[in-house]
Amino acid sequence: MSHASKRRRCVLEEGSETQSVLAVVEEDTSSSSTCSSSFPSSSSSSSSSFCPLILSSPEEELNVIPGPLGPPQDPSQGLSQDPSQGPSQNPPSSFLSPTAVASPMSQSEDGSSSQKEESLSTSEALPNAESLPRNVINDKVADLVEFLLLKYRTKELTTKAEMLNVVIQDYQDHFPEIFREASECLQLAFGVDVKEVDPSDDSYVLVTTLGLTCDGMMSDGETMPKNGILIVILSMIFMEGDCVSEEKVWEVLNVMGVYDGTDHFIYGEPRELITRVLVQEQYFEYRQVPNSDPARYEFLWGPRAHAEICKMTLLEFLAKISGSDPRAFPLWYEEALRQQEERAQSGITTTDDTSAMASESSSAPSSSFCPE
Amino acid sequence: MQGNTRRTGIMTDVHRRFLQLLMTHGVLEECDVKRLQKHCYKVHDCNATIEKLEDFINNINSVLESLYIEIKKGVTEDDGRPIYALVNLATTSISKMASDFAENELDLFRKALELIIDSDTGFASSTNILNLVDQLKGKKMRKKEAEHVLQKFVQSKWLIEKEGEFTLHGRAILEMDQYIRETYPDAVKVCNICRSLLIQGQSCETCGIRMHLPCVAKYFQSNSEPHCPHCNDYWPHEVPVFDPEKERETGMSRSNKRSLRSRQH
Repeated sequence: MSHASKRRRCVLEEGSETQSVLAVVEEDTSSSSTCSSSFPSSSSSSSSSFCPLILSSPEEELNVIPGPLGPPQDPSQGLSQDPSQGPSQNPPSSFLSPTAVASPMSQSEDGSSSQKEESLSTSEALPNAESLPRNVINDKVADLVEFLLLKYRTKELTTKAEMLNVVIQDYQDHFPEIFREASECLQLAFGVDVKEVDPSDDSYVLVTTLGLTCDGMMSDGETMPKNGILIVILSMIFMEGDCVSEEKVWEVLNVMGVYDGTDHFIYGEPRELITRVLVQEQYFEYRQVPNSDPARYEFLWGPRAHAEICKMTLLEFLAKISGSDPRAFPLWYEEALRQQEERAQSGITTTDDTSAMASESSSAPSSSFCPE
Repeated sequence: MQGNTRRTGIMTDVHRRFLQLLMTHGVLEECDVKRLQKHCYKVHDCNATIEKLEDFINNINSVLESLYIEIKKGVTEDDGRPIYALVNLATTSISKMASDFAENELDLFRKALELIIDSDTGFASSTNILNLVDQLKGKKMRKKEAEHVLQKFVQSKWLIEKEGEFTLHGRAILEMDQYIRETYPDAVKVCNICRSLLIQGQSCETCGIRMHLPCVAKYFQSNSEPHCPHCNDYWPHEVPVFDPEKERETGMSRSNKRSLRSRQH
């Protein structure tokens, strides 16, 4: 029996309201132990920590429906995942070397015992003495990864409560472990980071750690072309220091041939895009200028922009298009460096980027600070 | 590749960006996938040799295996073009759509899906689908609204529309394979050659077996007197000729194929 066919997730069946209702997972300890013994011992110390990518058994019929032209699957593959090899460019903040990651998880030093899927109880430093079999954890991690990937695609926030309710369910005590492994998997395989947005309500946002690319790849893709206008506006806000008035934004966009109220062949209806879509995706904040009458509006960087956009990259982009060097803009360069330093220091911890940025931008270069 | 000597399984930012972008697009044709791969290399590792696509994808799949996720390759049923999608293998549902559509919209999709599976041609007419609007779960939907929703399905590549009739997009076939087989075990049709799910295709009038158009094309390649592989009766339909490469450049072969559409059941 394969893992895949045992796990059932019946979404939106009759009367179901939650996103995913998980049926009970049958534990197949016999088959999993078979597979663990066929495991290469080389990367053993890393195995127990980002477990799903290593310890879960690659069972024969995992790919239930063989397509004729599908890529050949070799079911006997073990997995030697050593992220310190090769040209992997892991951002230091979220991905640690295997041994560093392994140590909090497995008390057992030697590799062989950490691979045994049955012997979990002593090797995990969990407050709750009751520990889960490896394959149950793997399944939960896989479920949480899928859930979080969905949130990444829809660019929605999620909360710990939602994760517990929808995915973890009966295994609430094991949330920290499952969450940590899922976050590691997301980072390792997808370059997606689970960033805490608000510690008070445990809300998280999923962001890419790979940075935006300025050059679109697809001619008909939705996400890529949006970046052009995004980068322009973010640059404007960056240059103005903190926020930029809506009037200024339209001035610049008009120069680019994008007009309020006129459908653009790439961007569609621009007002909709910048005041609604990109705001919803948390790239911008769009707010009324305080005490403005008649109401005028301004744009600020949104939380996603703070998380995803590296100011240095932005500065390099600006420098490139003006044919100069980032250091030609000393004050912005300083700010970009400051951001880099902060990011390197804060690591995976929950830095509230918004407040950090606010304190930085208070010393911003521009004197034309927000609308008159 | 044997267990102990895996040379693969190293995820770099090239692979990660590839996955992110593939996820964003939902489904991509092979030429776009190759472009995507090139783009990712350009961004992160411009000096490296671009790995052969098949190996590149196999590498990624080996890492994703334990998460029950896979980059699955399929073939469009009407003109045999290879497509790729990131698929979750453990889910037997239409959960991918759940985030983008409301409850009544999802139910409309399920109704359309059922009609498509039950049909002989693999197509369900717009009228028949819209007639089921009263039976939908959730908020009441008017027919006008339902038409709009069907168009949304086409735009997000879950359905294909041809002359007022709807069938499943290759993406839906890839992603919902398991769901379909489990939900409609009796009505589901399978290709005699490749054993995969079949929505559109040709069928033998004597014994009833069915084959995908691309599978027919391959099986009867340069065979002037095609016979049913099952009952050996003369194969009554015109054998399509596919050349995915040429097709993209000339527009001509497309119009030829219109006449070979699944109507030949």
